[in-house]
Amino acid sequence: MNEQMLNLLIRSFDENLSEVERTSLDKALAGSPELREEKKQLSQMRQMIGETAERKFKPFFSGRVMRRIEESQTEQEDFFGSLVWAFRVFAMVGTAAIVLFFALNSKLATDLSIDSILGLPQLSIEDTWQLENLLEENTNDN
Amino acid sequence: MTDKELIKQAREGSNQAFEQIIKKYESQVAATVIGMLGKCDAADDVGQEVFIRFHKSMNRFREDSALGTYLTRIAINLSLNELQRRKRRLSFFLKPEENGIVEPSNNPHDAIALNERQGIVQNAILKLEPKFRAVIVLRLIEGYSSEETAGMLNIPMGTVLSRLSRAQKKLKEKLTPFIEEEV
Repeated sequence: MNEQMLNLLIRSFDENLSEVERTSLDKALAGSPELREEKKQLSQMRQMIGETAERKFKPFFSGRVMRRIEESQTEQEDFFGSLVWAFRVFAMVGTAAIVLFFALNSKLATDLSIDSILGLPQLSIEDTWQLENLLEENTNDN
Repeated sequence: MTDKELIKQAREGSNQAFEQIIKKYESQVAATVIGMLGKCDAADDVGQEVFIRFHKSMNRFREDSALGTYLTRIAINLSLNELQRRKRRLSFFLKPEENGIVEPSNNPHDAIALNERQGIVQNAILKLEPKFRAVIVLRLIEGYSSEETAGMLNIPMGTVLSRLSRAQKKLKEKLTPFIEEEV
């Protein structure tokens, strides 16, 4: 059988042949019973492939997919739920610590200024100069 | 209910609508995945993964292609990934039947007597290289045009046509005894 015509025959199933190709294939088909048989077998094979394809997964496929989707949704919700819970705990403990810190400072402080509530040392201008001199001396020693 | 309506409801959180989508497209996805991987547990897993991926990316689906085509595209990509994974990690250690490939009987009489027509065709397809298998599945099983097949596999149309031609020659070698038996 002419290999070129066989290739043309196979191509004819999947693409539009040019006018010249179509004419030569028709001519070859008319003159060759072998090529006609080949065409018949190719058509049958293509039909058989389409018809016999397995088109079903195992039973209850949709149910299994939905279960996996629902499980992943629950996992996601659990994760975000845990984050929110952890945040709440940290927020409450943090707030309590801050309140306690302010309360302690205000109890220990001699006045009720913001600095003393925040626990900041109350320095006079003389204290600052003394501290500056001390730092300078340390730097010179080094 | 149309696909558009089902997707809209599913996006709004209706699991019932999404289950309807699965039921509607199960056969199309199954044909692609089983055509590529054979009827095995991995095919079922990949099939599930197709719908799970779609569920996750549903909001990005712009509806400019048909839902069936979109799902088939995911199915073919995941199947090709699975084949690559098998090749890389497992195929060396697995027996042929664990790989989704069951050796067909060479005697057409035995095979037909056992009503294995479906298995014979499937095995012949599974013996093709994945790149040839993909075009056969999309063109001959799913019925997409050569152009659509090229688009889905992201390869030139000429490549699809030459792969189709070579794949059909190989398939014909394997299936001719059974075709003659049928006639």
